Amino acid sequence: MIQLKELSIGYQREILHAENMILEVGNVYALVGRNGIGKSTFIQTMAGLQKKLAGEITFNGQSISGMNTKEIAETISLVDTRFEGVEYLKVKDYLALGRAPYTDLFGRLDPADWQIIQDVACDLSIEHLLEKFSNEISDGERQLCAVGRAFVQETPVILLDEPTAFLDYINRKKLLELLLRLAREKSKCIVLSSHDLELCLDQSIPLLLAAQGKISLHVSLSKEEIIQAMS
Amino acid sequence: MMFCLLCFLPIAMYLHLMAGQIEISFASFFDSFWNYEEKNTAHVLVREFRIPRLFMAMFAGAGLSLSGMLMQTLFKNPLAGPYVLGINSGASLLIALSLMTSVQFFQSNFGLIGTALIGAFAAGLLMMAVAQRLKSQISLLLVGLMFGSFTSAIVSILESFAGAESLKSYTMWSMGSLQHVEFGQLGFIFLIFSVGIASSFLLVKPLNMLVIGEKSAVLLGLSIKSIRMFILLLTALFAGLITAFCGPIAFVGIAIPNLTRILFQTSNHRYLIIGNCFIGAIFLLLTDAFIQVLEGHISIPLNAITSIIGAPFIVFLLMRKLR
Amino acid sequence: MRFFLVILLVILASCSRQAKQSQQSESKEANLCRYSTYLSVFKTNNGYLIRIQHPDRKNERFQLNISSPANDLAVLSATHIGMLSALNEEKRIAAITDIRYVYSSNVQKRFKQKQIVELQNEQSMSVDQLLSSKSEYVIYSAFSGSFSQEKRLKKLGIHCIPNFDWREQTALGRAEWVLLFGVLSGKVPEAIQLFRTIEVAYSRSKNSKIVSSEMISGNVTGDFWYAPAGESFMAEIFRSAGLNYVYHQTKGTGSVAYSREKIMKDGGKVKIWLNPGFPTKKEIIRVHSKAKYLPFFNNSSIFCYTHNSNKYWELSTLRPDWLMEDLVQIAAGKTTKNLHFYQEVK
Repeated sequence: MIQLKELSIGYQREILHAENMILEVGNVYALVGRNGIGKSTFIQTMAGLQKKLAGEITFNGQSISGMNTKEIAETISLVDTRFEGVEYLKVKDYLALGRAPYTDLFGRLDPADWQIIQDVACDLSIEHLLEKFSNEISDGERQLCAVGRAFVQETPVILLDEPTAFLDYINRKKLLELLLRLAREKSKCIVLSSHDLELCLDQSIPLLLAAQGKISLHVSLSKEEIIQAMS
Repeated sequence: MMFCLLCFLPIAMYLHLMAGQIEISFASFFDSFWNYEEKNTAHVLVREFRIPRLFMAMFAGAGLSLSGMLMQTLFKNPLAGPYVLGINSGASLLIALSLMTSVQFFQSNFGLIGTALIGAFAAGLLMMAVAQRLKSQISLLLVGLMFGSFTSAIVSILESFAGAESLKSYTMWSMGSLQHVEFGQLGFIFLIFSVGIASSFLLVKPLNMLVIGEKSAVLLGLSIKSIRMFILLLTALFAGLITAFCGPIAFVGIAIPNLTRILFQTSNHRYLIIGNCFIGAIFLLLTDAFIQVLEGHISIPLNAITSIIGAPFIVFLLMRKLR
Repeated sequence: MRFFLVILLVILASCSRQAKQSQQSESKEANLCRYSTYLSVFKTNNGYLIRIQHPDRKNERFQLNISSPANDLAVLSATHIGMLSALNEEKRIAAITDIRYVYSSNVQKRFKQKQIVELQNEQSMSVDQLLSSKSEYVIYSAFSGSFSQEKRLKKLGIHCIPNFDWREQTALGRAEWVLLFGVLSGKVPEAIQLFRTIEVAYSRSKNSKIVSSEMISGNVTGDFWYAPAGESFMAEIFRSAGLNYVYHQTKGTGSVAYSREKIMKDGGKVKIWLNPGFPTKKEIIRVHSKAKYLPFFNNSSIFCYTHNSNKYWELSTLRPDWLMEDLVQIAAGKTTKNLHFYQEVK
């Protein structure tokens, strides 16, 4: 589980502050807030890409400051939704990169690794894309592949920064349901930032509300209360 | 594809060896290895002129392509080349100081090759020291470019004061030549080369990770600072070594890695490393064979041909991308 | 009637022919230059008329009447200094291009005394410096085709005289340009006398046949060996000196560019190597490490003028007789220490 203590997030000045909160394993949390409030910064800080200004982030008791890159890679995966595809990089090879923290010096994958990739592709219904080049598929397909890569990484924590931007309604719903199932079945802690309030409320997902410089955890709020808090 | 290349390399080598203006029989080739006689002109021709030129073409082609590939992957830029970090600028500056000033300090006793090696090595060290302190790729690229501009400016000043003879010597050096290397030096080059290529295979995994971007690579467990250093070191090694022995050779380092990717249709550096070595070697072999064939009629410097072929190829690449 | 017409026509024709002939002989006698293609000097009532034909543009002719010697000259090439020093008239030089390439000790002395100004090179000459030298005439060579400052200087009242000695195809034609400097320094009779001496010495020292073993000239620049072509000025001089030049049969009046391999092959019997461009063997190897494999590197005599390049460039145009004497001695295989320009490269 993830524990945040007096976390101060920003570049040089604080833009968001999180009091104490605990994010449990087996749950999906939705980070909501207005544009520009700092949702991406928050996610980047949780992933260790952005330095926190003050406070602590711990994963199962271990502080993020004390972890090296390999340990972080085995603990957290971040879905890169702005992935534009790379020429001559096949989807299956892109997914295979998710196994990087566990492969040997030369990055060789064993049959077990390939099985994981196959299973993830199946879950996300992207098997038909495996042999295609990552720059030759649609934006929505690419987004699903990015999610797939994080799944392949098999980390206890998965962070998603606006993962539904390019997806149609059906796929958005499917993805959210998949995330919920994954969190429950595989004991993962998933945080995603989203603008899709309706969908999140439908699924009764706990919300991390970012408003007026603070992030707070809310389990049950109505839509009106949320909108009021945000304005 | 790999198989095609494996077959084609010996063909290209053969074409290169036979392309010279002087007819040399197969028997002479053989003899020059087993029964080398110093007085025999044909033997000297083969051993001291043809063979060094052949191997230099292969090493230069492979090395420049490899270092170009490293730079293109590190900076995620298909127009990057082995010279973006100013490695050859260091060599050029020292050569310019050696040839165009009469300052005793710069008149090295190691000859032009030694001087260029020292210059390239110094530039490489400087770049690595800078890379230690910088966070982003872009900054490193900019520093490299600025260093290149700075050394060019100094060289221009030297040129305006230089006498006609020394100016010509410098200009000739900067046109690139495969013919300066000697037979005895080939062993040294081969050794460094082997070490370099073996080391690049250690980079296959990090390079494949860098393909999707630095941030994502870090999140997959890549230690970006040490990998960046390693890539820089290798690039400096290849580019510096080749510039020292041949002078700056244009376009090979930029065009060939792109060509390799198109031919092999992959981003996996396990294949790209080998592919670049082969295609780079074959390209320079054929180009130099072409120059040799024309030697009886026109004298064309190496850089002229690589630019004539390289520049339109890059334009073609850009147009493909923009389509 | 027809008969008379024919006679009349013949008389008229012969009259005009005679008139032409006398005109021609008149101009032939008046022109003091006998070998030069581009320079003509005529004596006039109040001095001398200089006429210089442009080598490429047939319609372009430079003419100038000079009645009194010039006090301040700007000379932009080494050969100009050489010719003035042969006439002992270096005192008239007010501006040169580059002091590093000057051989004449008088010019060097005057430069140290700040009596001569340095102008850098002909192409990017400093006009301000030129004006400060108070030169009345500028002698230029137009190596790059034309003299860019000409129009500007004309407006300032400075005469720009082109010197095409380097375009002349014969050795004596080149040396004869000393007459131009004779006119400029008021020493025409001395210049004519000097030239006669040179003419006689040159013709006398020539060899009528080839006496030497095979000889090669030039060196590698970049990847190619450049040597004078068979029909060039230098090849002609080699022939006159009796040197058996390896490439004397090649076509062209410029240079030939050969690959190193070809030189290796052709140089098998060469015993004399001229003009490698460096004064010592060590320096040759420093820039061209593979020179040691050349068949003629170790077992031939190597000669070059690079131990004193300034002297060579300053005086060899004026003194082809000295050049010829040097080359004849080299051809004969005598390594003496009395060479004017050349020295053995060891």
